[in-house]
Amino acid sequence: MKRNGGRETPDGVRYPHIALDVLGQCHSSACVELGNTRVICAVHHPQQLVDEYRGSRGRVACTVRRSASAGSHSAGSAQPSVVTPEKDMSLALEGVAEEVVILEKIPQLLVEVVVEILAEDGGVWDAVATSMSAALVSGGFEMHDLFSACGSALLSDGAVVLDPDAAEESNAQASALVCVMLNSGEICYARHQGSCEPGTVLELVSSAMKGCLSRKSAITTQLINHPIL
Amino acid sequence: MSLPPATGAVELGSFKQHVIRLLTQSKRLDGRPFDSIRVPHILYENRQDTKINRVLASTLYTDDTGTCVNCIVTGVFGPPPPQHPEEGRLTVEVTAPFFPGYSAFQIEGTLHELARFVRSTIISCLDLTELCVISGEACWVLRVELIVMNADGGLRAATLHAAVAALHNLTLPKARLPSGDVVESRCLCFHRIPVAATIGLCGTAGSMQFLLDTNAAEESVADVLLTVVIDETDGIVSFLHHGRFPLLLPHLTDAIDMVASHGAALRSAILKSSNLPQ
Repeated sequence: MKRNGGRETPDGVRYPHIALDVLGQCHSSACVELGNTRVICAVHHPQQLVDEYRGSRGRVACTVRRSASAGSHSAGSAQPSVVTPEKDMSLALEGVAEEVVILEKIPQLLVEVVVEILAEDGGVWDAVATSMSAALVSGGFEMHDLFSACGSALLSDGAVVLDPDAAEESNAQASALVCVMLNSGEICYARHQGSCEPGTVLELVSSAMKGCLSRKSAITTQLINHPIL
Repeated sequence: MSLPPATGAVELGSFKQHVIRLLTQSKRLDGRPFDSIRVPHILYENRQDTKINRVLASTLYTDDTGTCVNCIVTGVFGPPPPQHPEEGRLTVEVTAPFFPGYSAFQIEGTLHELARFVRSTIISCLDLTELCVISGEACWVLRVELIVMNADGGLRAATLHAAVAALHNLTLPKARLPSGDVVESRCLCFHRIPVAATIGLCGTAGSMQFLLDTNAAEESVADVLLTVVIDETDGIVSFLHHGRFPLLLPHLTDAIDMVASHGAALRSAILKSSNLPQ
């Protein structure tokens, strides 16, 4: 089967290209391209928590914004609504960041993370998680592990594909997404959409985990080769 | 009027004092002469392989000191405006997502003003009747989205250059209307190509210093800010003046001459990459 991004097999993944420190005004930033999906993540300078006192732990606040021209989802909506998929993604990413970043090292500090989705062709969660992990690492925040995400989809012909693009995502019967720490293999976030049998859900999740860990060498190599880190 | 400069860990007041001290010594923060511009670089992105997007053009504007503007043009069919049935529609939207959250409220007015400036300047240089498909029924609705990644002064010039680079020689593709009529592909052309620069004036004791192509730090300390937009014949397309005191006519003509002397360099930098074969 012929797939997007030069892939031939159902378990082929698109490997991310990471560019660090792409924005000059932020504390740290990362740009990740995954096929035709492009995401920029910026971490602002940490600021004192003013409105809320968090004791001995800091806080990571995340905002995900989608460019209006990023994908084809904005064709039907004339006005931006209050409840968006980006809001769900930002809340989930805050939970992931609380698990990964050692918040006791930054007490009473607020770390603001802004993610901008510039171009979208499936794999948005993969690119966003990878860029956020790269931006936090290059910003010098102590973390337990790197993290990344991968999706998998059950197509209408019964095939399970890894890292679906936009066409495969829209035609899928069910899809799963897993956000995994790369070295320890612990799952930070998992999501399933659609309807299928319980055995297929397990197959989707395990395929997504396999795809996530297969990108580990590509991600760590690009981060290690950066002159700052 | 301008986005706040990125001072890092330095307080804004101390930063301004430092810039003022440099200007009294005839120096600028980035070491440029007073009458030099930062030459823009336009990256034109070819995204024709992704058919699901309605993106017609995508350009990335950068200059030497870090101003970065991403311009994305999308097009759909829609009804023409009622007051001008023979014209198309053009909307401009400017966003700056990478500024800190506490300054999002104060920069919103600046971004709206930027969008109005870019739209009015483009409309005065572009014939909107070229976007008309069927008079009174169907037209192209172009949406220009400008994402300010990094802001280092001269935002009006930067956003205008990014939008002009994306819209010049834009190919409106061959498409089919919902009624079944086939619309042939068309090339969008400017009848005059605007270039812009921001000039800051610092009034010290008796003398007036012109700073061409100000950065964000100089905009925060300048007494007067001028934005000059000219075309190929050095005609004035647009002129904006904000300041604490009025200016005499020789100052205005000197400012226009400063921009006109760099107009050819700016225009070639904007249009050269756009004409590359895709």
